[in-house]
Amino acid sequence: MIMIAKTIDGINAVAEFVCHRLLELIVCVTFLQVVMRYVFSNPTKWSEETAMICLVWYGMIAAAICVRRHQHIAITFFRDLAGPRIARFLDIAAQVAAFIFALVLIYSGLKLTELTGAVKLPASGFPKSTLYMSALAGGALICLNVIANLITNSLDLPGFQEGSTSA
Amino acid sequence: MTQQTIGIFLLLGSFLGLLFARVPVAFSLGLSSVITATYLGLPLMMIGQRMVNGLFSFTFLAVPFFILVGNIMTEGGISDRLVKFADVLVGRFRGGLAQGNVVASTFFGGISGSSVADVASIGSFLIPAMKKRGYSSEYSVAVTVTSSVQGVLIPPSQNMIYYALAAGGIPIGQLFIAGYVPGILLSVSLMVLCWIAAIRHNHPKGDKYGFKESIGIMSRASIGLFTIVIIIGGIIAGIFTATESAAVAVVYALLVTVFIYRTMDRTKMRRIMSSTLSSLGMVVSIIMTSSAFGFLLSYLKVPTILAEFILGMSSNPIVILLLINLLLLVLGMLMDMGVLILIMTPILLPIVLKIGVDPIHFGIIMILNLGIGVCTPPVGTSLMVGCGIGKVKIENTIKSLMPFYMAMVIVLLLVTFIPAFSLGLLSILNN
Amino acid sequence: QTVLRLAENQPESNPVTVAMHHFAKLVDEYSDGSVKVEVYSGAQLGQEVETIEQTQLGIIDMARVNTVPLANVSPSVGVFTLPYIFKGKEHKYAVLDGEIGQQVRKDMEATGIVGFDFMEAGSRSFYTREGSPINSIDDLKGLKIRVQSSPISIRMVELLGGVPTPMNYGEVYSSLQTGVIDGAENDFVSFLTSGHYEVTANYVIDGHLSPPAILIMNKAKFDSLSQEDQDAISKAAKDAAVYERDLMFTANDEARAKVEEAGVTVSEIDNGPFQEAILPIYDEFPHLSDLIEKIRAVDAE
Ligand code: NA
Ligand code: NA
Repeated sequence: MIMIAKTIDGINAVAEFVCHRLLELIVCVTFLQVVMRYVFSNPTKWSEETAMICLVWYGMIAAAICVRRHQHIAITFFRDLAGPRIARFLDIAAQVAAFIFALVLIYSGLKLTELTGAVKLPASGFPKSTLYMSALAGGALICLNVIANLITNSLDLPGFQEGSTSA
Repeated sequence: MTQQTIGIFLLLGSFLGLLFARVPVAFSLGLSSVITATYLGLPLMMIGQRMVNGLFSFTFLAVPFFILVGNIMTEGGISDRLVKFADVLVGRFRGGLAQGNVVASTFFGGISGSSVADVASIGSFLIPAMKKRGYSSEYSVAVTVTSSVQGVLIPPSQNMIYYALAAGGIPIGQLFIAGYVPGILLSVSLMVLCWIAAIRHNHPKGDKYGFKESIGIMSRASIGLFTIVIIIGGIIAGIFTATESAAVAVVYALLVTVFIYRTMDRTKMRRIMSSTLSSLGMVVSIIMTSSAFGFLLSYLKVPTILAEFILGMSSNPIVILLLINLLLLVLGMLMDMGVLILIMTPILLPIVLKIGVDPIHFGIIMILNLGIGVCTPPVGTSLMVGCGIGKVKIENTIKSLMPFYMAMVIVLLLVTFIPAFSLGLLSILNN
Repeated sequence: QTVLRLAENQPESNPVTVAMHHFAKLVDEYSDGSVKVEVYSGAQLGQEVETIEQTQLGIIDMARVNTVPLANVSPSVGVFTLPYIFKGKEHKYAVLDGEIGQQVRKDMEATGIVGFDFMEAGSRSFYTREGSPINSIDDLKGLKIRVQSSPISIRMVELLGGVPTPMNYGEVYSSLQTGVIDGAENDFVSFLTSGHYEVTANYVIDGHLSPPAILIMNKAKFDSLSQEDQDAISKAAKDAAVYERDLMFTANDEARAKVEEAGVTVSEIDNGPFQEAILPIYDEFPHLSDLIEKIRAVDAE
């Protein structure tokens, strides 16, 4: 079981690496956009849309990583009032809720990729599936991270302690 | 009950239920949308479609830049130098740093046009600085978040452009001018509040600096301060747009910390990227799922129903304006500002025109009102970002936020019932 | 009773939204109340690109959209979005209401949507800041012109000698004000409602683009209705389109008067050299070449 959790954390490390490169790409592309227009008077047509695609991918993956890091904001007022058994039940239920939602996200990502994926984005020419596949990736990683959380019994909100589960 | 009524109860009920049962905000918004979409027989593809397209928008491109530039400034020591600089200016006064926060947001409001960007950038170095000085985390977050509303009131403001578009031909230039006085009024009230709080809670004072020392601090800070000059100057000189300026600021801050201050290294870089991922992942997932949630609110015609309800209650102008403000406050707690402006303007504008309210005046009322909503739970992006940066729980900040909410509501009432705040400057300039 | 949800991205006051409410009224009348259309204006269900997709997927039933974003989904409608493709108002509607319009609408069915009669969406022209008036094609040289991020708009400005600058619509106002761009292009109504006229000195009527708007519907939903209801919707859409065109032309004239009153210099220009300059664009869309030829062969009256 621990092996599974370790593997999932390995996947998270890769996902994190991808996110960091995406963020760098967003900055570079937007910076380049200014340079091309202002210095070379040759505005780029693809840059803004490309940066936005990167942002969507970044967002989907980061949302999933935050599940493992317990960075998602929740209102724990009533949970903290309840006894330890109810609190634990609610903690597990929150993980299950994330899992169910992630399944819907995967399903809807699959359908969208299939039905509208071939349409091209107007400025950059990338197919729409470039966008919708991010929902698949994000959904899948959320599912994995819920499993890892349950295996390692890491359920509580760490109260914004930094680096709680991040490598 | 009709399908629509059941749908509305299902959407709001399941959202609140999940939320209070400790399900994270993003997933509460998402799952309640799934449940309601299933009940209404809508294809579940709608969830992914709205999530992706909600984020696939130019408006949000500035958010990662500002969070990133804030983190670079903090880790790389630019923020320390800036805060010292602010300390030299206002630190000798009790609660000076809180005042500095409000002043900074007022200036920054003229750059970003977005309160989330304001919290992300100013907050990421001022919140840690305030904590270091001995302010409570909650109070630091409360000051930062509420003063960020200047970002939408003081032009340029994306949201004012949305209003002008939705109102169908309101001159944007005039709307911009109308925003200044209410924006400054809000700043002044928040500063008064900080002053009172400083006396009552004995907020810390900074050190006193000698003349020579002050000059030294100011010159050391000036290179970092230039980051802000780049942002403002670049926009005014017509070199780049507001979003681009943030990207340029990232590159500049990086160059300064690596080559001039020599405070940046690989470990710090990794920490910057990692903490950006945490703040951004949390904010962005709420943006995405609230986009699906907002779609269903619109689909179920919640805004229209509420407007009809209000008109059915009274015909007295003062009562109607109060009710409209109340309605917007409630909706602002649940939905995103930009969407609400676009939906509610065409519904409410004809109503207020009938009772003799100037459309520019109403625009300011609406923007200030919805600006408050961005600082309130459960759906308040600025508050979420602020709490993320300050590492505090939302419910714990409420106590600190209460006086600020009250001050904002008082300003809102003043702006609502004294049109001169919005229109005075305009009529002086027009003559 | 069938309820159809219709997405409209313009606010309530816009002529096209008025026409959509008129459409809803006509559907009710023609179907004897068996079909009800609910209009969601002000982009509350999403922007145009999204509502097209939502209509395809059956998330909503109908949407009123411009043909520019629709061309990404159903390529043949892109022919109406080419620069100077129409020789004038009469030619435009002879083409749209004739055989070619029918054929293009038929093509949409393969993507899961039914297209109804084309509507007017104004005719786009250039406008520029103080100091860069366009009196001839040479004046466009080197001007940074904001365009929609569509390949056709970008290529067109390039061919005219300008520097196409795709930019988010919300940023155009302040970019014009500060000089990030020298100009932009739009129809009179949008030029007025966007407030761009406040930060612009010149508007030159060259009418480079006049892509029509269209009402679309999810095909599966349309096919599921009875023949009578289908006919009622089609007839209402036809009548609403005629009604909308009139409203739009009037609104256009009113908007022109208002911006002139506000101090914008509006000038007419011989767009012959413009038309010549963009000719290469027609060869760059080989999949549209048949349609282009057919359109050029249509005589207006
Ligand atoms: Na602003
Ligand atoms: Na602030």
